[in-house]
Amino acid sequence: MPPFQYIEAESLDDAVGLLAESGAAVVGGGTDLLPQVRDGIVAAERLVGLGAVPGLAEISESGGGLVIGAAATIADVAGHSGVRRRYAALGEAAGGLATPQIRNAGTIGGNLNQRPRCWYYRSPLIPCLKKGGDRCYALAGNTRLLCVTGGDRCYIVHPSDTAVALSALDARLETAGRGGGRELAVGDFFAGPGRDLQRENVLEPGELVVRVILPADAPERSVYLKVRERESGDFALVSVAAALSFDDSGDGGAVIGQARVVLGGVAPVPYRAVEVEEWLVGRLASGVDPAEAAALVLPNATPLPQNGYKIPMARNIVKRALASLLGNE
Amino acid sequence: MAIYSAIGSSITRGEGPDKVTGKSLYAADITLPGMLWGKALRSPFPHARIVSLDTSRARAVPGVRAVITAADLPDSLVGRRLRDMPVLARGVVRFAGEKVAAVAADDPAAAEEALLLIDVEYEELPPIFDAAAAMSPGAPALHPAMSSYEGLPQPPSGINNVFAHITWGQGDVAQGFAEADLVFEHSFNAQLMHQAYIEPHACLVSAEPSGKAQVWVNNKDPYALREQLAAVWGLPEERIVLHPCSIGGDFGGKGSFMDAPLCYYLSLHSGRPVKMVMDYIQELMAANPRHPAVMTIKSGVKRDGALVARQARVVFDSGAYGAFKPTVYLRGADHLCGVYRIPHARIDSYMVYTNNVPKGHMRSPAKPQVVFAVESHTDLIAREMGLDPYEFRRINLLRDGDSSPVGHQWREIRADETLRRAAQSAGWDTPKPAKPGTLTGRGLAITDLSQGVGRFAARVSIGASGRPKLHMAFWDTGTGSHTVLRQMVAQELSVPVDEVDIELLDTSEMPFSSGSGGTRVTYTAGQAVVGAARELRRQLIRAAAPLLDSPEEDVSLHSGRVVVGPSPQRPAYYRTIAIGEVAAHAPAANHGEAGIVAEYEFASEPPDVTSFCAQAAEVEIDPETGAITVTRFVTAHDVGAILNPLLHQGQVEGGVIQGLGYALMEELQTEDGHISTLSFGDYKIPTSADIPPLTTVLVEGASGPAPYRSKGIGESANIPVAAAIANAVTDAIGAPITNLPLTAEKAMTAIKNRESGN
Repeated sequence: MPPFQYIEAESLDDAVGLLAESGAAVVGGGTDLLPQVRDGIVAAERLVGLGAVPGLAEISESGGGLVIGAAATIADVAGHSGVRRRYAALGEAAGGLATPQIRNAGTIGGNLNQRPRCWYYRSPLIPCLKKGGDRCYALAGNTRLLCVTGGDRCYIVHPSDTAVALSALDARLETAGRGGGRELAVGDFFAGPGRDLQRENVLEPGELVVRVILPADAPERSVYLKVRERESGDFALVSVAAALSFDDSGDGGAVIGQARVVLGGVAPVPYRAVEVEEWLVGRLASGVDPAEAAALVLPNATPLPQNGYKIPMARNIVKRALASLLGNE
Repeated sequence: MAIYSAIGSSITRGEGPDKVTGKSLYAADITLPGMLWGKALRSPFPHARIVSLDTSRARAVPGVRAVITAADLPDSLVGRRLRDMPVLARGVVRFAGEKVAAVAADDPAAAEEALLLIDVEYEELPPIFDAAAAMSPGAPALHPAMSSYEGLPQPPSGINNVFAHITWGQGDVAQGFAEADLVFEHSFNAQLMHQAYIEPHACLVSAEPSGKAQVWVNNKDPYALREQLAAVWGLPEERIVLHPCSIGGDFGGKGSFMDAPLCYYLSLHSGRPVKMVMDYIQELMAANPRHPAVMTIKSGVKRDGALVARQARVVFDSGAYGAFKPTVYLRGADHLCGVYRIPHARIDSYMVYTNNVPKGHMRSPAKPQVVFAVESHTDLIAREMGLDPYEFRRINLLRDGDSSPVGHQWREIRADETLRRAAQSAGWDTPKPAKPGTLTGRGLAITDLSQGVGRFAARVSIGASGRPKLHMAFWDTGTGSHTVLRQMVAQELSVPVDEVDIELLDTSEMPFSSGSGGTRVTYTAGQAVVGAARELRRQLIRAAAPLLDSPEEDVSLHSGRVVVGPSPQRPAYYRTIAIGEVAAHAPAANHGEAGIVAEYEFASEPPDVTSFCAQAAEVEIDPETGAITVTRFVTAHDVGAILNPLLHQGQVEGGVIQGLGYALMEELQTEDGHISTLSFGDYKIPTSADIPPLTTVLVEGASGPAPYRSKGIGESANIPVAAAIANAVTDAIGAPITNLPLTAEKAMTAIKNRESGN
């Protein structure tokens, strides 16, 4: 393990200052960053922790919604009664990710900033494109776990479960940085390799996520489903977060108001199935055939040689997610 | 309260408290004064010529004490039997991860820095990754000097890159197929698997000025390793001393020499003790994983379901070297005919060089692979003939008086009863549970496993304290073997188990003993320990008789005392004496202390019984995601006396879980000779959430070859698991998956193919 310095920031300004220097990185639980430092994939001489910044490890009510500090642990998010009651998809995503140990140590900020699991990226021996190397070794290799849409020279899938759920819940992120902070939608935070090969989001150097804001008007009903190879400690082959809100149709029925259907494991960013969302909005809930909606998932997918299985898998779990949301209507 | 009936009690592991409180010393924990850290530079190419190697920049790093390459070593090869591996690559590298140079430095960071400064120029050579392709006449020969290697089991076969072609069988296969009404043939693939022990390989070697080498290494087979090291180092065995270490998990993987030969040369060149510890990336990339196998089985069957002929073939990808196999080939390949009566049978097994990672042993070597194949084949024949897989097995199972297809003559063949009890417990004759929206299936599999053989030397002593002590040079790999051996001493000397101590000696202090493995320990070590304890008891009685003023035949041991009871001659006579007191009267025996010592050596013969393990799996498959869930699992074992029910059950459960990982998820994925799954995030072993409800059925009453008529249990539960689950998956989908592991993605493909009629 290369030596590094660990500093707990006392305030956000302190954190921003500490991160301004080269070789500095934010660390949450360290469950993703430290193995990368150990394996020489990420060079970090100074790790800045946020746990001591007042309020940053808390989850609080605000304006009818919830605000989650970036240093709140995944276990705290998963166990929070407000999350479970009103943002079920987030609770399920957080409660089912990784292992109990990782959920106890890992933070929501860290989870959103996880690096890809692509093993060409993770191998200390492979100079892959994402690490500044010469090419994507996956393309000529094993493509089983890679993306089926959105690839551009690099074909990762984003590993975060909570990102998929937060995108479906239309959450926003607050950041801090040298130029001040900003607030942006989760959907605008993640960016694929077409924008920047070496990063998965739009954070500027020295900028960090400080809060996650769950809106008061998020769709009231949501669900997260995940297909994986083992029951614990595993990333999604494919996952879906679906969120629906309902309006009164005027004759006692319910019409779908908002619809968000977001997939994990298929693209370099949480992937919004906009065709499905558009198809759903305005329909009488009782008249929706989930299979018909799910057939619209990934219309323009371009699977790699070994990952075509993800497309029927994605359609099937979207169908299942919609059926579960509509079934109780 | 003291427990005097030691055998049959669930005694917890003696070393457990030291392990969980961190007191146990593993090889990586041992430190010597002046010790350096060794690191190896590994080849990034699977096959290349080393054009040049320049270590001058590495030597200049502060703190670096030695940098060595093959040029600094004698031109000597190492191997557990087949000596085909150089300590450091000489002129050519044959797999990605092969060691080409090594550094010893004051601290690990300096050693790592120096590795980066070793300049190696490679010229890539055409690699071969596919074992079948390596066998073709046009493929480059990876070991042109093969015929000169020491340890080949027979002269080279003449087949390209094949260093062991072993056959088993009986009868006349051509005649058998001529008699058959129906012929079936299927092919299967089993994947590359890692043992996934917690503790990576580690060693500490001190090459002393006296010419002696002191070695601490997490190797479970110290005497065999001493022979291997003596051969490669060119030292007499008595100058090499292997010291006891705790071992943090084995599962067959801790029998190989790994870095120990190299570590000695670093010590010799630096003049200091040197420690080498592999990290888990190196473990997953370049240790000694389980062999992948490609298997084809063809069977001839009569219309009534009787098997008459079988032709079976298995090709094992040994990788770049054969050095990590104690038998060069894998004996377990003889299980390709299963536990069935087949008059005409032939098995061909090929061990093939490729440019992949070299393979070694893993829990019941070869058997999980070939039993997956033969038991899947058995089910597929039954399906194609419209027979119930259970009934089809019963028609053909070995029974008393039968000779196995590879010529074993066993007494007490309990295959049918073991299978029947597994099927019964699984509710084989009841309808499968129907769950809407899921596919459900059931599968059976059966195997046998006989105890391995070896030699063992045990010494038992007793001093004035009255606490018996078992002395041996034998390390517990985590199975609880030390505890069971202590139970045997306690039983024979009639003392509580917690009063029996163990003193682990180094290899210079005891005669040869075989290490842990091959379901050998309870049998071979057990007989030696019981033999020594019984000899000690005889001596105790002999020494006590005059003290008790009684003839020896009237004296016995009870509850830690030597006792003379009333007899017809002396109806009122009753005297006892503590065994420690007897020992205190004895002349100095052990390290100058008063006491009694007994030693016993035992060489085991292949037993005339085997033991059967039958399993049943029930699965649920989600047709929309392919997710396979094992909902229920039954494992039935043909057992003799159970010496320690707790440890016995631990082996059964651990074996099933390891088999479940093999069946469903574990795979070292390789691309062009490079392992991709370099962490336990990518190399997936089962978690507790993946474990199904497990029913263990003990089919008791057998008479095994181990003490108290017991049988070993270390390997059998792990063998048929993949086959049982694969058969359940085939039953659920209606089409087979013939390559392990059985992933969701393969299940989806199988479902789709069945639906589209492919």
